[in-house]
Amino acid sequence: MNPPQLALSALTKSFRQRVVLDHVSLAVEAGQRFSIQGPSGTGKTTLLRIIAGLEAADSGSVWLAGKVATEGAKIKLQPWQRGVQMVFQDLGLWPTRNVLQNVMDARQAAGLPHVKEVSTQVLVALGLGDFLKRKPGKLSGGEARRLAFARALAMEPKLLLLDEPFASLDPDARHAGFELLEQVLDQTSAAVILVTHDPEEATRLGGSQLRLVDGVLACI
Amino acid sequence: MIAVFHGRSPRPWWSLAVGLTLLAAWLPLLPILEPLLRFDRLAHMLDARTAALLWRSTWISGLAALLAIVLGWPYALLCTRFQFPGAGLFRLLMPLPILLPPLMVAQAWFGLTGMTGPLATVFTFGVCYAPLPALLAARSLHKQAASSFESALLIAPRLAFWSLLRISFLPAMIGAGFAFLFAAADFAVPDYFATVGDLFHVYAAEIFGHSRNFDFTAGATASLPLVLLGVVILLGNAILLKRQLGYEKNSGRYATAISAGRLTLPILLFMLTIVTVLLLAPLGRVIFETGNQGPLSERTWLEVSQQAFREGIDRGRGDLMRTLGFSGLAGLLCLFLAPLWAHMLLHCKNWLRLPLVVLVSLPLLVPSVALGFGSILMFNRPWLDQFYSSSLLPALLIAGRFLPIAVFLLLDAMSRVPDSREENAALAGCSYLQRLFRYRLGTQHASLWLAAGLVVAFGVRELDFAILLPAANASAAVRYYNALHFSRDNFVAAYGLILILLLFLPVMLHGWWQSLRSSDQ
Ligand SMILES: Nc1ncnc2c1ncn2[C@@H]1O[C@H](COP(=O)(O)OP(=O)(O)O)[C@@H](O)[C@H]1O
Ligand SMILES: [Mg+2]
Repeated sequence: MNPPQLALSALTKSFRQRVVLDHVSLAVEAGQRFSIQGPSGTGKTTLLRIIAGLEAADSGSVWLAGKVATEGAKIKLQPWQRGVQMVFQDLGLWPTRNVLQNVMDARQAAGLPHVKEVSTQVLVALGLGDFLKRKPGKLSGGEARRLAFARALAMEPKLLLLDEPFASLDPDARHAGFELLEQVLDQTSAAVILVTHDPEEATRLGGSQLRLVDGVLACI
Repeated sequence: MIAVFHGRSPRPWWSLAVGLTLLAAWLPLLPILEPLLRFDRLAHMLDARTAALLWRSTWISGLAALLAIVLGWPYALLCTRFQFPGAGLFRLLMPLPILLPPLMVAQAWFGLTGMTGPLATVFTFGVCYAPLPALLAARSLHKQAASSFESALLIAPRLAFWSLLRISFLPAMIGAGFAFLFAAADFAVPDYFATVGDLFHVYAAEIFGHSRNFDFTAGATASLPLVLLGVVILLGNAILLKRQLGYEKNSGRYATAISAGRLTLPILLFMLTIVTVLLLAPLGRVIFETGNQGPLSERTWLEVSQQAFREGIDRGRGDLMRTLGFSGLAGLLCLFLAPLWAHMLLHCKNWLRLPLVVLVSLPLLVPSVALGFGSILMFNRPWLDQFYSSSLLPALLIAGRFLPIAVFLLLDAMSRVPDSREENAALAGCSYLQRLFRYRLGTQHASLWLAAGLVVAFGVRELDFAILLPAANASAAVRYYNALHFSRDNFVAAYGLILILLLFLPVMLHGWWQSLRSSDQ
């Protein structure tokens, strides 16, 4: 049997004596989908950052496809070695690069083939075909979000982490958001972890629904 | 009177600020700008000789700006975004080289290497103005959104490094633009290297030359090309800045420094090299020169040095106190004017902002010598005799010239404070001054004091117009300049060091204060 795409074992993290993650364990198989809900400030973002290798844990470990990626406070696999992509809450676009460059830079730096063709294709699929030459600062909120998704998808990740990608949208835009989420899911076979505080969003994702409260991850 | 202080409208205060600035900064500019109205004279100005001088000034300043970027940008990048031992100290030292009087740096490097000529001038300006690209780049590196850096880190470290370069490129260019301008307007350094080595002329020295035959009108007129150059650079920089601010919108966390890891030692060596070139080598040389002596002398280095310092304090005290007097007055003026201006720029209509920026910056963009000529032409009149010979005139000129630095510092600080704080105060019926000083600036007092401190420091460092203006003649920088030209080396060095300590003080205090505050949080 293949090892799971992602395995967390007894992951613990505190900030200044405040325990944010308390022995969190989880196994995610290839292509599997999870949503994590929870009030703000409970450590959802922190959990995703530890999975991505952007932050170390205090104890416990992160395994990716059978390889140890983080062991306690030691980061064994650097963020760029993990095959993980993350869509950040504030998107993390590169402001000096235009829409197409944002995606092409990523694909090129990762050494993936057909840089321009694939980048354009993904952008068109997410409805950004008309904005290829625009800088992120000149995009609307919804368009910027599409770009962040497009960039993550173009990296062909094994594991996609989405940190409240639709949190700041008004109710009208939320439906467009769900549509976008479905489009994204259509285009990838990656395992997905979606952090959200919207139960409907979690339902749309499908898969297992989890809740993080007081550092403990539980099924709903 | 009381009613004004309690008034809720900003208008009377803004008018007062504009009025005072008019007096302090813009009147002396009129004689410089006057030839713009006379095309016949304008055509005369560009003969072959002038063109050759301007060309030399341009390439010297261009290379200096390039060197300033090469030294300043990597320095800022490493000490703001990498963790290695001493990074905080390097950050603290970053602004200091710009406070060193360029003439002192020139003299120190001549002492160390014997370099002369145009390339020595390039080197001196590059070293002195490296903090400009460095400080501006550091500011934008601090403000990079964490997610922007980290999303690159999820792909390749190379890409993350590129994101650092890309977010700080325009600020570094803006700093280099100003470095270019200040280098082009400075006559004292090329003049010094031309005296100790082979003769060469630059355009700024040509302007200063008019003072030798007291032709102030010609001097003011001749400054016009440099003023126009200044306006062009300012406008270019305004465009770059607008674009950069578009890149800096950030709704999340700011990026933090990354551990240098295996690169710690190379980075440390690199930083030490740059600090040595920018700061330690010239300072070391000046310290050495306080006790340097001829081969026949029987006294020790320490004895000579001590005597030089005694002499420096004894003879220089009067000038120093006078300089501190009018620079301090200028600082106080800016303490009041700069917040008003910054606030006005923050709230004014969009179309008005750029013209206001040009107006407030103009006194800094003109060569200081030209400001001297302009104020002689404007204020040397019998009925203004009292004012012309008082310390008030240099105080006003310093305040006007360095006001833009204070204004932009405060503008940056104020734009970090959420508008809602001030708006709440307005709803509660607070007076305008309370709104500005208590609610808008309440958490930014360190910036306010730094702004005033910098005006004082630059006032003490100011040489060019002080040479021309009788009221500023007996100043510390002029005494230094004269002593240098009479080769009183020990005295010059000791006096220079005393000055430097004074200049470093406000900046070091601010840095120390900031680091205390950030360790509190
Ligand atoms: N680098 C950090 N240093 C100190 N505290 C932090 C840091 N990152 C997160 N925290 C704290 O950890 C808690 C969880 O944060 P976060 O993971 O962002 O929560 P969520 O995403 O669930 O809203 C918060 O209380 C936050 O203040
Ligand atoms: Mg979060």
